[in-house]
Amino acid sequence: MRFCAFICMGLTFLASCDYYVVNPHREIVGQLSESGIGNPDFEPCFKENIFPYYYSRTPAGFSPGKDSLRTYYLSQYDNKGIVSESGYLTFRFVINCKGDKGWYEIKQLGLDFNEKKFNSILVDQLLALTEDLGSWAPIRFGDTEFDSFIHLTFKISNGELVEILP
Amino acid sequence: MSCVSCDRLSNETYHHLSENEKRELSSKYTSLAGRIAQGSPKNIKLLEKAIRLDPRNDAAWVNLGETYLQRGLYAEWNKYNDKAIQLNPKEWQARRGQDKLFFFRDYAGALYDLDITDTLTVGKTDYIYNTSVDYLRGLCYYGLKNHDKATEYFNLYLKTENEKTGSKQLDKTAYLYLGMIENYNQNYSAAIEILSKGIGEYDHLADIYYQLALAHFMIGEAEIADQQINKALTLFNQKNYHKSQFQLYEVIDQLYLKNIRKLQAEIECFL
Repeated sequence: MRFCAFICMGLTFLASCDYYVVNPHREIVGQLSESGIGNPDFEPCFKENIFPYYYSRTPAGFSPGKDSLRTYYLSQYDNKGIVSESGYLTFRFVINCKGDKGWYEIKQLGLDFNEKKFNSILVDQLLALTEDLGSWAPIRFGDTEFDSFIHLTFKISNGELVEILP
Repeated sequence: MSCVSCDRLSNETYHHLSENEKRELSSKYTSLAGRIAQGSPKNIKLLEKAIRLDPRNDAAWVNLGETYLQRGLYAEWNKYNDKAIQLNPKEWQARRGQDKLFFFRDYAGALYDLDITDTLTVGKTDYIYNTSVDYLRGLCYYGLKNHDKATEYFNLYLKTENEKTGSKQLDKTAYLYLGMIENYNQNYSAAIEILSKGIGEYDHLADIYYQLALAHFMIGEAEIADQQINKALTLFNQKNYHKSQFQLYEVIDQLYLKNIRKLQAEIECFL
């Protein structure tokens, strides 16, 4: 009771002084953190700064190229008879300076861009395929490799994998 | 005394400003944010401040959304972009169409946004940056495999732009996609005609030479095909191929080195 009264008084005080809550944005937009899923031993080389993957003329990415990436997923993906799922399934993750991956974050949206939950069989399968996939090139500035965050979006239509974006 | 959450509180108010002053200041903050690295804490704080000053600042909402789009945070992009479109559909609905086309390959959704924009701006060809909606509509129909409509819009684009600004300003990939449609439909002579026109306008695109090699090869002109595929390979290795400006997404039917190598091997077998 006393606690509630204290909170009410605090809020009244803030409102009367024209205080309001803002997002402090201590990190750049889209920054990932160690609370992500995946390999528990994963570490970025430089925790102090993780770039968006496209920030350099030599961006991070899948070394053999997007066409090989597409072939890999299309040949391995199996919808396991789940044909009712459609939407965008995005895995966001960090590629460290050695080309290792971790700190995964999963975003699940319908085709209308509203949040939804995909069948976990599909999510787990695509996550496992992504974790298993090697040959990632780190972002490079000059001769030095750094850490970056990147994302892969799987567009699924009636259970079929129709696009790997962006 | 430490106060860990002080940066979550702001007492910056704008009561002393008139509505016009708020709008002006909001616009200036949007402009300032545009000069700072996109997505950086300072950039985002400035955009959010611009919005607090003037919640009707549609450009600030769009810029905020764009940051999230490029980082795969599509729900946030959608939320902020929707705000901008509600405030100023004439300006931003076509741009959402462009994003849906390139970032999501949502051809029907993109077409819907582009068509809606036309109903808002009757008698005017809209542009997103320098890209005509007719060219984008051509791409949408191309993605939907409605080749007749795609051809109609690419031709409309070429005609309109040629009349307006001359061929120098043209996006030469309109010729490329027209040629790809003809090749897909096995109209190889028509493909050669349109692709050659494209080369007449701009001869530094590996993709056009690749499609030209394919057309010549399919009608049995292997020697000409061989010359064209070698040009395609040279240009590709010089990074002269169709790609998006900052490579944030792939272009539609992106050309890969493997495509060129495969066709080259087939042509060489035939020689």
